[in-house]
Amino acid sequence: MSALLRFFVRFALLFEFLLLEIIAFVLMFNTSSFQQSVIYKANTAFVASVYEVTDAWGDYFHLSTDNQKLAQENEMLANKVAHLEAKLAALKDTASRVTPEYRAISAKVVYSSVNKIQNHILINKGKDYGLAPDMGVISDEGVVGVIENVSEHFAVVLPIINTKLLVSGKLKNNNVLGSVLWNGVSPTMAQFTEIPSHVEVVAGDSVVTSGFSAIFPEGILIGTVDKVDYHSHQTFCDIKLKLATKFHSLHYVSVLDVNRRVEQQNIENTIH
Amino acid sequence: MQDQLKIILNFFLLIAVQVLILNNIQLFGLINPYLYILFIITLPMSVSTGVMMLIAFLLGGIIDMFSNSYGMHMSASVLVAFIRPYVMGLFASREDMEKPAPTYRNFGVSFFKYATSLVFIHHFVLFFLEAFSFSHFGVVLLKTLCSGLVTMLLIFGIQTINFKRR
Repeated sequence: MSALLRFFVRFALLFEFLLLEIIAFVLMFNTSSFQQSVIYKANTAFVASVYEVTDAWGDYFHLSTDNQKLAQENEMLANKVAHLEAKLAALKDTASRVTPEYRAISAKVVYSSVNKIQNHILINKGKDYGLAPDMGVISDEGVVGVIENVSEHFAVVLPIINTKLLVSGKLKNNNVLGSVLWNGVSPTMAQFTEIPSHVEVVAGDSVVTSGFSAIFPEGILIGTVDKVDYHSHQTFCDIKLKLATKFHSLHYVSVLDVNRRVEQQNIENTIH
Repeated sequence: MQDQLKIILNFFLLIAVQVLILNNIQLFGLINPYLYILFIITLPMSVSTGVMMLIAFLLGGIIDMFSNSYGMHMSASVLVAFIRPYVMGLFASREDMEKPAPTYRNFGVSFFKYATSLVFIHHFVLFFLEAFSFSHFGVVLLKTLCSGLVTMLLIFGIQTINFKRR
């Protein structure tokens, strides 16, 4: 009898183990439907508020570097204004109506990971500021990533340093198109692929967004070429890219709402 | 009663250290230690495996909440709780098993053999679930090795301090 009981106890443990693992796996794979649930929304709000508090301490440590960055950006913007004013004066008599290409919404990073294979960034603006999935995210240094998910007040960004994301880019000096992707190792490096071997690439060349998708406008810096490997028997060369955005010290980002984004994406979807 | 209070305090302390400090650590893209699993490793012997798995489920769930990774830490922690008695049987002697809790103080050197096995199993499962493909298998192994070593170093430090203090 006691042997039977002991057998049953062991069996019950196995059942409990399998049940708990099944729950864990369901959570892991049904994240999309889970993310629409009430529990998830409550969680996101709670976790984000905890990170907001701890981040507030962290802000003090970054004050001086952030200030410096802002000053630099200020200077750059002032130059741009001057430049544009001159241009405007020249254009005034042609009286053409120009609409801006995109609207930028600045946001603060509340949580970011750089040490995983699937990294994520959480920012403090969401639906309340008109953010939606598939909008591009940049920093003052370059491309950051694409919005994956939005809640009422927060948004999850899929950064370049996530193996799921692929960004189309081009070499700035000769407009050759390729794709930027990440291999899961260093958060400062990425791979630039699909560049034919006959194209001459040298270390230091800039890679910028192609502007073909409605996510990023053309010409935003993604990174600079760090190393090129040519293989005589291969059609494409291996290019290592040094990412422009420093994901370790990312605190402020801008979300880009490109004009007619939804319209362009809808018509693109009819092609493939 | 005081012991129970200490365990509960330990639970929240390890979560706080994991979420607020260790989750932000990033060295060479390879080292991110998961120290929180020490809680399951050192739970007293009086806790049954069934209860331990439920605690591991809760602990993993909380870490998941803060890491944006639903189910991963849950799954790895529950596995550790489930296999803990078997792994302990491999390394601990009969007298060891009668001590109140598996710690360096009670087990001696065999504690580290036991803890190392569980830490590496936990880290491997975790990194594998994170990548979830065989194409990153090399990276997964390398991350397991590097992060596991750092976690063990931290555990070694904590256990030695506890050993000396009492």
